[in-house]
Amino acid sequence: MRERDFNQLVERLKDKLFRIAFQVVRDDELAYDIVQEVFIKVWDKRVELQAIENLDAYCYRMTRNLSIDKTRLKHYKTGDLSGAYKMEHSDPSPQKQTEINQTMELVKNWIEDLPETQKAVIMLRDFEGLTYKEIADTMEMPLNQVKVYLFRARQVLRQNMENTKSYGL
Amino acid sequence: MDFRKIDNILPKYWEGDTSLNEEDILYSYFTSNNVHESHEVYVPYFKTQQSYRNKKAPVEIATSINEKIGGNKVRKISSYKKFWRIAAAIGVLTVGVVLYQQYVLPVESNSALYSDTFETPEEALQEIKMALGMVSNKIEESTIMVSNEIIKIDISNNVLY
Repeated sequence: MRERDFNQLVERLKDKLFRIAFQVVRDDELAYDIVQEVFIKVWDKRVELQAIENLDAYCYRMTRNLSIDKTRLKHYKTGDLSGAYKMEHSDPSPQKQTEINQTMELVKNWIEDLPETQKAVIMLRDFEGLTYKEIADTMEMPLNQVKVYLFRARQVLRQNMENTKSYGL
Repeated sequence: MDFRKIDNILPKYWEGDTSLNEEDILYSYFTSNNVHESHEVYVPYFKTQQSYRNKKAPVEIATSINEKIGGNKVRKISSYKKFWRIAAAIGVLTVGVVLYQQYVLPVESNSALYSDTFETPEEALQEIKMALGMVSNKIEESTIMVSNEIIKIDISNNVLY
């Protein structure tokens, strides 16, 4: 891997890796350190990594595993996920926008309440846009298992959204 | 927007059977301001995805990574230096081969003659004594046999003459 290829990799993946790390550690500064550590490891191992089929998936997995390792440290304190979302107001009427914002808060809570693996899979798919294969490689699980977890997670969210619409907030 | 298309994709989406391309269509549709009333219930989910994707890594991260790997970059070697390095390596290799052929190989080939022999002179002497003793015995036996044959021949001659 040449320096130019490495820089392209950093540009392409830095935001995704940052969000994947943040999703686990819930801390901007720590997520930043993790992403740096991942890229430095990739650079140090650049000769060995030429044999790797999917470098992106390798980086996702390394980021996730490193983030999980950091949360296991004794001094680690769990933060909340509110910082993961950047609100951008669009055109709907103020009343409608308020309603959407309130339901979005509920959606975040529903996602938070999902079992850990379902949450990780739905975040990687719906929020990061990874392929099923990339998710399977990242999570180190069979591809059909990825689809099962995704199906279950989406069913829960769909049910909750429809219930909210039917019975109100 | 073709709402029927969305109606076709949505059930597949909830079943977890959509491609990334189809999911992009849903994402663009639900984050637009042109959503059919029957679909509005799902808007918050896609808006949540949108707000999540807006979170970016700090801009200085790429620079910071580049600085950290700076000391670890591969040093570029000019072709001139490269030539002399290769020439020096070939020279050292040639001298090595010549010295090996002149000094190491002859010693190794001579040493083959002495391999698998005795550790001490005493052992060697003992073995030689045994070997010579065996040879001596065989010669003695042969001499006796020859003497006996000569005697037999002499007796035969006396009988004839």
